[in-house]
Amino acid sequence: MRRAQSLTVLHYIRRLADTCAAGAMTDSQLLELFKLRQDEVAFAALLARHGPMILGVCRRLLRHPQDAEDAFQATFLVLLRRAGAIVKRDSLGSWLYGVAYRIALRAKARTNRYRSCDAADELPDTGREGPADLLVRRELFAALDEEINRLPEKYREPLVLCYLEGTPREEAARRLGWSLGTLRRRLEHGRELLRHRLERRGVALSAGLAAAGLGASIAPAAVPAGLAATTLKAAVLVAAGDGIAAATISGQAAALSKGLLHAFWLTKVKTVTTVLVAVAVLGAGIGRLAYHAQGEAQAPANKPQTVADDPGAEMYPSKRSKKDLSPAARVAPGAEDDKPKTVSVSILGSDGKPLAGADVAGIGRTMSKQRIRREGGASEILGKGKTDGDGKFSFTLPGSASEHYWNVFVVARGNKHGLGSKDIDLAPAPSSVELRLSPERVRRGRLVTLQGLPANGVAIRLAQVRSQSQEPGRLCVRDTFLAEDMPVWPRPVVSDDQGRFILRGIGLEDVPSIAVADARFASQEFEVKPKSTNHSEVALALAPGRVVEGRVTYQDTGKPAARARVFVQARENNLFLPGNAEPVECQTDADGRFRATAQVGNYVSVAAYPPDGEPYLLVRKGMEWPKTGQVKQDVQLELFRGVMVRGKVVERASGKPVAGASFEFRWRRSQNPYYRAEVGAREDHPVSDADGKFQIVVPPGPGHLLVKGDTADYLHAEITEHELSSPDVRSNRRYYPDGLATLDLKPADGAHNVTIGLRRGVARTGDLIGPDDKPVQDALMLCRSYLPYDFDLNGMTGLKIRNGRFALPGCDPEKPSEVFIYSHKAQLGATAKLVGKPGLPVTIRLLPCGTAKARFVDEQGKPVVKLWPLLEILVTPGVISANNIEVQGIQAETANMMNLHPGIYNDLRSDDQGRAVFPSLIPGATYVLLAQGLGRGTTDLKKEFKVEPGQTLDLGDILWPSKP
Amino acid sequence: MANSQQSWASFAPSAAEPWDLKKVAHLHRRAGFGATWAELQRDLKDGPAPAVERLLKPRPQTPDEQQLIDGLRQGVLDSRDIERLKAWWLYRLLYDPDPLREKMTLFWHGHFATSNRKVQSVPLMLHQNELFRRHALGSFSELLAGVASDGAMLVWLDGAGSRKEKPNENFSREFLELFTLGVSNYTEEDIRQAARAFTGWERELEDAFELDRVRVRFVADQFDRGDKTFLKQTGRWKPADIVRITLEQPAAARFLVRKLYRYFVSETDEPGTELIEPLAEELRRQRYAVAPVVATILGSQHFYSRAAYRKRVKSPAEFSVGLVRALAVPRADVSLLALAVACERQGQDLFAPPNVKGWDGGKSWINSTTLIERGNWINDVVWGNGSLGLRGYDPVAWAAANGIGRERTVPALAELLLQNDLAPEARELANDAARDGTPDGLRKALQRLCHCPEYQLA
Repeated sequence: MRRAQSLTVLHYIRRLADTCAAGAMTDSQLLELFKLRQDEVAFAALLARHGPMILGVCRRLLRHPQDAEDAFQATFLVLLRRAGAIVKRDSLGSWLYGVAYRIALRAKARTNRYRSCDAADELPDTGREGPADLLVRRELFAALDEEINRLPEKYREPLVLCYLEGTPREEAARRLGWSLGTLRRRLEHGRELLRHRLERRGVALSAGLAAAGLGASIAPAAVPAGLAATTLKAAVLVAAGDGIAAATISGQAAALSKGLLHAFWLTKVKTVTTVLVAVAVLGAGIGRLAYHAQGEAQAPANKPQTVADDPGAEMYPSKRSKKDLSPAARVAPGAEDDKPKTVSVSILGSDGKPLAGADVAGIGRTMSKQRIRREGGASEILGKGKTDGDGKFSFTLPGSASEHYWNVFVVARGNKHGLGSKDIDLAPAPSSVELRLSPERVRRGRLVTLQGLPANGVAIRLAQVRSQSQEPGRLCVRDTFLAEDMPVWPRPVVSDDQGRFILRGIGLEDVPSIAVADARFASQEFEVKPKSTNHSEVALALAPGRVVEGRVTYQDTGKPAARARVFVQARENNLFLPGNAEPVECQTDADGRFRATAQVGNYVSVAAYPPDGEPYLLVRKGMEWPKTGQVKQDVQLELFRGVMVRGKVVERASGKPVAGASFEFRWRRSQNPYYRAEVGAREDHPVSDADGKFQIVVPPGPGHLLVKGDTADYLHAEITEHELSSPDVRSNRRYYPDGLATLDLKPADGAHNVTIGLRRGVARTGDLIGPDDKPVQDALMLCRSYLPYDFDLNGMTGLKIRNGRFALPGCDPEKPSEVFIYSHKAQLGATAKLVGKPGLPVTIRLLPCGTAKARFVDEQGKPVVKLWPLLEILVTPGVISANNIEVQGIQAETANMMNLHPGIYNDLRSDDQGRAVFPSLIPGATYVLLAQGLGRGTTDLKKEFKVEPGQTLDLGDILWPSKP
Repeated sequence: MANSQQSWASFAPSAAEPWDLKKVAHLHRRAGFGATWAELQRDLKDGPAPAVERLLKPRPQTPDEQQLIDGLRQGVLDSRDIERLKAWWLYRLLYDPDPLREKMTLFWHGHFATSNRKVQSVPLMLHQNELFRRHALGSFSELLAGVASDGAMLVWLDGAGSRKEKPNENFSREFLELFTLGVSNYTEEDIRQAARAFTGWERELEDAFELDRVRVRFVADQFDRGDKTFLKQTGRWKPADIVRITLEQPAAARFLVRKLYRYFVSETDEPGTELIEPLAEELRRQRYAVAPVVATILGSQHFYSRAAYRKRVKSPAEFSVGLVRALAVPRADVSLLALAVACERQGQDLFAPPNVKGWDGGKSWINSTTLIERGNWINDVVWGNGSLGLRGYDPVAWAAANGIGRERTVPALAELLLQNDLAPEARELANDAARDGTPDGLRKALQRLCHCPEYQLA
């Protein structure tokens, strides 16, 4: 169906996240979410937010649409590449504007050499202009862009936000953290400045510069959906290395059978669920995203004694909730005791009095134990029951809860009261929680078809309850968050003959969403929000069902594939994002035929899984629903044959089987005659059994089977993205699996046997002492291959050290592991090289942190104010890429100081004199200073230095060219 | 005046000009989108005055219908899908108790032709549609004022962004040329002056998250408060003044009346002054209230005369909706989304008129492609189309529901659809098809009747 193409992304985001107030998420939060999870949804939101403006810049500077689109993509790739390094800020627009401008200029310089100034017709059509006008306009726009780019940031930021991106004033003020008055003043000054500068250039634009004109004529209407999709695709390819290999979801056959599998490009249901949790948490203003330092739980560390006063609590006070999304927050110690704790829940009625007999449950949203893909999503019931006569209920919170759960919440519902929920802040875990329920208001609805007929007999389930309460901790709870049917959650209802239904158990002000599942209609979800008080009942129109049917056959034999699992998912966009509903699953019959009713959405993807045990690969197909009002589509899928790999994972020295190891097959994209984008290994990753055995069907041709042991005790292998996938992947990062098998099988090969040996490393133990020889209570240890890197095969993300003792698992007996230790509380640090020699605890002495300072100047020696310098610890040498897109060589691994000391580094800027001070530096570590100015890519500046203990190192004047 | 009274004298049935099925069906085709067998019979029995009265003063929507419309409307807004918006309007064309209002809404959509291809906002297009419906039979003056500040129109003709320093003339040009006076009734200077009075609008996003949530905002600072000399009158004119002064021009009423004549009476003959002038006078006398003029037309002798009868080509919406209405296709078997696509394929993409002049109408509706598409829609309705979710039509059930016997079914269908305005050969073909007495035979007959050239005429 025709619609504004640009809306699709937005609409998707809105549907997915806005239900939980994602609209209020700042750029910074989205970026964090993306950094944290490499989450496409967050990236898509950024794309949607800034895409039109960026495309505008690119189109104005580049005549050829293709060039503009290339530059557009490049801009977002820069964002992606620098996502981990960009200094936190709540408005990326201006930064992106600068990046786009520079990229477009570069592209222009390149393309001008061989392309004459031809068509002017790619400019947005404004109706009644002739070609001459267009040319004038183009020149004018070029000048405009150049001058906008030169504006001082405080003027450019609001201009970009309000005029180029069309952000409403109030929203812009909020994002920039300014008052509305300040924003207006700066907008006006900015416009005035711009006008002067343009006039100086002989461009009479006075009239054209008033607010509306600027916005209306410059901001393009829309980013074509195709472009948005390819950008996002490229982004994920860069992030993940490879399309289909990245399209991996964790979980095993069990998860698959539950229908938790999405189709097409990139499908991470569980990620989405966690995003929803994240969004819910954010929306509720909690902002604490617990993160499980993988493997740490299993690390044979000396279990620290109970820490009475928690260092983390101070280091990362929960009040700074929103900032704690940085990876550092994840590696920061969880603040609760390691011992189980009883949480006493008080349920109060709307009158504030204890509510007896209310249904209540305590629920934890767990993180996956699997070590290849780290995705939470499952729920664990920590306790359920009814409140006693005093409105009390209690449940037990396991020790180290923040390491096991994304979040823990209580949900309750009482007589004549609506469902309420509250997130429990785990740092520190409270011993009591109070939840006040609001009075119940019955919701009445009526389901109708688009022709206005009653939709009778439709099963309606309460899918979500969004709290409107401003009270902290209030959540947006989905039924999937509950592990099972519980009395606390209102039961499903069925619409009557008139399509009518009644929804009970919802609080006065809360907004329930219902989901319908009925073969006659598309699967869809509605918020039941009466529009006016005139109707006590609200009519909801059900979009008709759309049937996807077809046949699955084996490609080599042409025979039907019976019992193949088919997943159909429709979305409202053609991005490879999971939709807001789970895919519809069905199974092929003996003739390979299937039939499924898809959800609402014009973009449909269909994936077929071969029957269990068959040596075939999965196949995916995507299509756009034809604009014909059709209700049926035929899809034929062919399953390509793969090669069955049967293997065993053993410890290399002892031959002992390794159980619980997880696997991922990465298919080479380059120099692979068999490579097909729509085909891949099944995504239900196997896990080795008690005998260390596993089997997996892999595609023929070159590829790698990556293995991660069940604990962090194994030595790491190292392989780069280029080796795994293709040298044309722009981000050539390292992976650190525990074991690796290089495969290059032919389609005709029968079952292939492989034994993968893992080498057990040594847990190197030691003590941290300060200059006073006393133990350093809490610190963080970073190590190559354990570096915070929130993605798949990298094990834990930094080792938390408590009570001065540490144990770093998986150390190599031959090769020293360089570690970086930082104690935020004590402001001490050290680097050390640990060799995996058993039995010899080492003592590492931490020394006072150093400080560096610098002054940023331009060519004239004038101070550069409000520059955003970035400081990163160089953990693994390599290429540090900035705004250049093409990267030769392997990427360096760095840890951003923002993550270690967010209090300072988040908002670090050069002052009026161009000066900046960088505290809390680990003595002996190599630091890389990058600088980021408005309207530039991250850097033309890259300075490496080290500091001595306690030293204040003066880096002197650093040139920051005034022109990018 | 005597002349005017003659031209638009009320229709009074006579032996020579009886109130017959032809006239009843003609009234419903023009004032609405056709009628069912039962409606035709009812109005035939009741006579012309009650039939017209029912159209002019329809029963109000029941609370139930209102709730339904609201729910469907909300579904449109939630979906942001223009196809859903089309389906919603088609729902009203098919089922609303006030077909004349819908007919006039379609008239204004063609008059103020605004396309979502540029506007790119389902909410704005919906709001404009509701503006047309609200004022459909009301004051043209109020409608014009509403259009001048309508979001979709401001985006469509670049009024959003028109500021005092640089007024955009697109809207004021069309306002004079296409909406009110017609060419050669104003000067270029009048366009410029009017443009100044229409300044002050800004376009902004309601929500940074949602690019289609565009809204327009009046910024007082950007409005040109200065003196304007428009159509020889000078003052600090605001949009309302521009509307007022424009409608004071003699050309204004004539311009609108000509368009109404073409819409309701005839596309074939250019009406003379003796037909236009009385209506124009009436319009002025009624302070530009549209309903009285429409009432005059629908109740007139002239309306039922040869000058009007079958003197229009059905628009795709009239044709496609009309077929479904006439046959009283069960609601469960209707696909509004498919109906929207059918209209589009036949050349009338709702919410996307080809240009600011709207659809040309008349013979331009018919060419080899659109004719085939009209045939396809007949096929889909009569025989069904599984891939569109359309079940085949059941003529036996229709006949039974209307108390028509087997033998009478084909003749009754010919009366329903063509009021017997068909060539004897065509009638014979239909009869032949139904001769085997099977439901499929009846369907074939029905299809043949719909394929008669007369069926293309309104």
